Amino acid sequence: MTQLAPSAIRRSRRAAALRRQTLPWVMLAPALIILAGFILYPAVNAIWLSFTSTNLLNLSAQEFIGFDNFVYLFQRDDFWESLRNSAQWTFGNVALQLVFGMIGALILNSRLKARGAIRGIVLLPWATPSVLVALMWLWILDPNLGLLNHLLRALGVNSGKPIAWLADQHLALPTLMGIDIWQGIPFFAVMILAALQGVPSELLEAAKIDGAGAWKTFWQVVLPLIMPTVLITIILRLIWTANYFDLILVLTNGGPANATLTLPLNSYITSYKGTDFGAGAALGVVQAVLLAVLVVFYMRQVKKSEIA
Amino acid sequence: MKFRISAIVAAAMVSIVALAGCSGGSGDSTKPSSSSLKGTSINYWYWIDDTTDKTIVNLAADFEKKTGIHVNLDDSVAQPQFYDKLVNAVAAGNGPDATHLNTNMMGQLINSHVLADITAPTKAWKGYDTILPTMWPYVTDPKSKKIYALPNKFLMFYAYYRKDIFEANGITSFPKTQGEFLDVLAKLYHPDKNQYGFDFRGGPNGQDQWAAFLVAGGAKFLNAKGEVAFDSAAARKSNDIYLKTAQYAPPGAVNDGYPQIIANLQSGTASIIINHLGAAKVLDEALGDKVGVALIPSATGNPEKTTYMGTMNANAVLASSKKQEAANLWIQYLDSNDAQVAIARSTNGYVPVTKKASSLSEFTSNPNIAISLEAAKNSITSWPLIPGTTAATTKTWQPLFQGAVLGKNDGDAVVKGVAESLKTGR
Repeated sequence: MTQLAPSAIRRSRRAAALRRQTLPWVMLAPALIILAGFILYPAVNAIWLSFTSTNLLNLSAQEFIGFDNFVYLFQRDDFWESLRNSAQWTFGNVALQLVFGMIGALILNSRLKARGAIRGIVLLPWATPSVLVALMWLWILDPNLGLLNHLLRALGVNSGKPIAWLADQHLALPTLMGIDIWQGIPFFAVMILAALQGVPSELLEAAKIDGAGAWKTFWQVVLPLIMPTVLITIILRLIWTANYFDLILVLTNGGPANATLTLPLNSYITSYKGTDFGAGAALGVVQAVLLAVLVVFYMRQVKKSEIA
Repeated sequence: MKFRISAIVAAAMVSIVALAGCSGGSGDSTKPSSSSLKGTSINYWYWIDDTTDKTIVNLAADFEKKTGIHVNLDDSVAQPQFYDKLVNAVAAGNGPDATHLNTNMMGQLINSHVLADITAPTKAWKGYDTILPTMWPYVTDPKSKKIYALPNKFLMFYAYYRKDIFEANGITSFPKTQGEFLDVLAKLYHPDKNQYGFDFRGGPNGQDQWAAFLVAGGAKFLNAKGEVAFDSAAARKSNDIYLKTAQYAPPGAVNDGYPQIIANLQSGTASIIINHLGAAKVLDEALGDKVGVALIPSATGNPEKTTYMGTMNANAVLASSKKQEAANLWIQYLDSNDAQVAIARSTNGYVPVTKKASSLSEFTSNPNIAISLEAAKNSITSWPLIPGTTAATTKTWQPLFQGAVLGKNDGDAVVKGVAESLKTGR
């Protein structure tokens, strides 16, 4: 029997090790190429755009201007207004969606008649396209002809001047938040419901036997177990809500007087209405940096869940 | 010797063929000047408010029969998003050959060299003199005087009002001056009956109503040199009056768009709105004789001494098109008298731009077209064809105007801000 020389054995082992290391990358390559093309390239391009003066209609005139776009934005009132509105919109919406979603999930997790049908119906706001939601609420909230003011008048709640829900600069953003909260509750409810159904019943029984009431059982047994799902849902909703502007665009276009102008809407208006794509991209970069903090937090939570 | 004779004969034959090709265009302006255009296919983008209307489809079929040029129509995007789609397509290098445009969009497109200069083919076109002369400024660059589009659908802004509500309040005629306008609004204001004066449309695209009022009040967009001259005493005074109408406006007017002002006039919540011919059909159907039309109140009250504002939907050829000759023939065809009559009769029709069509009794007897033509008889203007118009109309105006109505900023800031945007494009 021929024995291989030690060097041949070493070469063979190195080749096998190399194959083991490169095979995963080869298998991942198609997905990585798509990610690079549809996510990485646009992101890098947007960052580059933010340092240029760019008119999409005349790309040959593009020029590098350094931080000028950022300086221009930071000097504008509408930038700070949109930043403040974005913070209120994002954190306010998600906080209330969490609270009501949690309540909804606990109710849906109990023994209800027609539970299956109810679970399907509660998803309707979430499943309805956002533009349709916006158009529907545009008419419900119309101060003169809308259903809401008519109901309030009929119930005797408001017999004075009709409430201009979307035309009052103090009411417009809370009104839009109410619509988004209504639309987002089902998502939280469904995600938390799924986590609740993964809680072992033996733990709940044990807590009951030990004399824990409903609140104590929820707070000390159920919540810690569903926390990974809750956290990941919160992070995802924060990112989606921060980027969501269809509703605002249709209902108020950022008005009245920028009372509902958020960072992504400001970016869209600056780019497509002001044809200032450099400044629009700069707004996008600012939003991305702020969201990156949330993304880092999300990735840490995912890692912790994997370790657990 | 033989070679020389053959060469001369060959050259003569080529000349004869070339001359034959050139002479083909003299009889009918819709026939292609060269037989090589037959079988050409061009892309044309446009939007329509009534998507069931097939007028343009029928016209494209007729054009193809006459010229052999096939027009691929795309009306998939509604007007509010049309400019966004065009910008993306131009940036990606796959824009159409010809496109419908509103004049508010044109300044930026001209400045970015997106639109083809069609001055020469337009002036050589047999149909050039058939167009109403007052239409050409809408599509001509104010500085270079080059033509970048052909007028297609023209609109003047005027007032629609509820004749029955006027009568019920003892108002016998529509106010002629802007001062009288405020007095009339005070008489129409009955909030206890949910009845208000003027819905000024403070929401998206309300800048046209606002500018039309200021122009009638004496504001000018540009001076004689083509420089922005919007921030003037006349503009500020008229703006001040316009803002004062807010006290008599229906609740929510500061955020109202087109559907809301129409609904409010229909229901009687508002007694007056400003719009163009586009609202006529729906209002006539809903209100019949109860709706009247009138010229926008002016500074002088004398239409002959007033400039009125209009807007234009035009057709242009893109500079990137490799089929500009065919595209030009198509947009010229859309300005033929027959096409203009068909478009004006359609549910998406506006005022025709040709002399012949605009003088037809079926149009002049229509009060909405008649008022448009009356306004256009005098001095007319539109948002200028300069790069700053896009930013001024779609970005700057709304927050400043709404801020002025709600007390967040003073009224003069609106005029100043819009003028600055017109100048800088930001």
